Amino acid sequence: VVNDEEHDGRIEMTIVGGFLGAGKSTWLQHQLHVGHFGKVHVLVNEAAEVPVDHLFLEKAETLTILPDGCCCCEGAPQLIRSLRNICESHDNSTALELPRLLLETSGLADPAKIVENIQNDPLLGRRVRVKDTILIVDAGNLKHQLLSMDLVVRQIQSATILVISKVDTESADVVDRAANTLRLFNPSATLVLSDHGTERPADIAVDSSVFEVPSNLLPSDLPRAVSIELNESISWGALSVWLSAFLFAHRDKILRVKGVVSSPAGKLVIQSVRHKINAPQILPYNHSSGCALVIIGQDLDDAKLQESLRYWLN
Amino acid sequence: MCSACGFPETVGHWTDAGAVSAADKLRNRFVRLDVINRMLAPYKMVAYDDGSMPGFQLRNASGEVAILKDLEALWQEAERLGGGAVDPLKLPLG
Repeated sequence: VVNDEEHDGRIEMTIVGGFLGAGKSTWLQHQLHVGHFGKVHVLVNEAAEVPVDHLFLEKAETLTILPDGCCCCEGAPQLIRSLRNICESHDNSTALELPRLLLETSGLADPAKIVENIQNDPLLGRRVRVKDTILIVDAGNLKHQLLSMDLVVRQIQSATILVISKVDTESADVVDRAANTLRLFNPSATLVLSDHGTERPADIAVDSSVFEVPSNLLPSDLPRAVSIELNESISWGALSVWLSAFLFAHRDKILRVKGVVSSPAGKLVIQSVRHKINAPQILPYNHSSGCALVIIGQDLDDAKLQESLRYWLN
Repeated sequence: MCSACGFPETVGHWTDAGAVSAADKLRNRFVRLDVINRMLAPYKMVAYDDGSMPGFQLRNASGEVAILKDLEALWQEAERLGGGAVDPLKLPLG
């Protein structure tokens, strides 16, 4: 339902995350080399590694290093300051084109928290829109990481694009299992396979072979998507009350919400990272897409959701 | 900053998007308050949005009142004042 080409005057930002040693820098270097992100201002936040890479300097339009700790927690003020400076220098320049930003997080960052910090900043919330959260996952180490770190699950669940790295060094079976395991945790993200940053066709055997993860780690009820068609006449005011109450009451079970709703200002595109909804984008008036809401999460009952919407919004 | 409630001016909650004209905003507030109060009624709470300050005021049965800046803050406080989350999936009987 969401058209990525629409932009609304906010600076677009991509977040690239992944656990320590997942292959973030390798992947990013290749993407910059082939020009995938175009002219982009790269911000690197590597908590305890040697951050500067000459390849970055060559290919990134501008490079900013954020050395003051992980930018989802103790380094957050530095990231906010740095983003504000970028906005300010754009305002003071004569450039017509908006800068494009890419943040490489530290391996211990929760991308959803970074999105939230940006949203909650009075200035950046208006100026910056996080377009994608890309998460690099090391095929061979995924099983071990899932066992040891609760953080890895949160990272996986905040991604809109999951990149499985180092597929060249792992057997097809391990890659299949990694892919299926990731789908289990986050069915809504796009899966990409990568070998040193080069994209490989994702012909993954879709069966149930997953890594053996202890049952207490697996979500007791696997996430699934529920699509709800919305009548154009539903008032956005009423829907926003229902949606905010629903998301708050079920906040631990929601992975993602996507949707297009109609409001007096035009069609609004709604997207969330876990249960936190980003500032909506307004589509042009003549946009033809219908109104619908997709909710991805655990324990969702189609009939109950429909009934609840009918009950409260009539 | 609003001199009545002390909330600094922020981006606005996502639920506040989508209204352009003053009339839309006003209509939106009435529509929202109606749904909010239907949802709060089973929990013996009432919300007010009388226009004297941005956001909502929430009151529970024992008279505790809170001033809240947006819908998210409202549901959070309603959980505290009401002793449980207000869940729109739980429909009132009858």
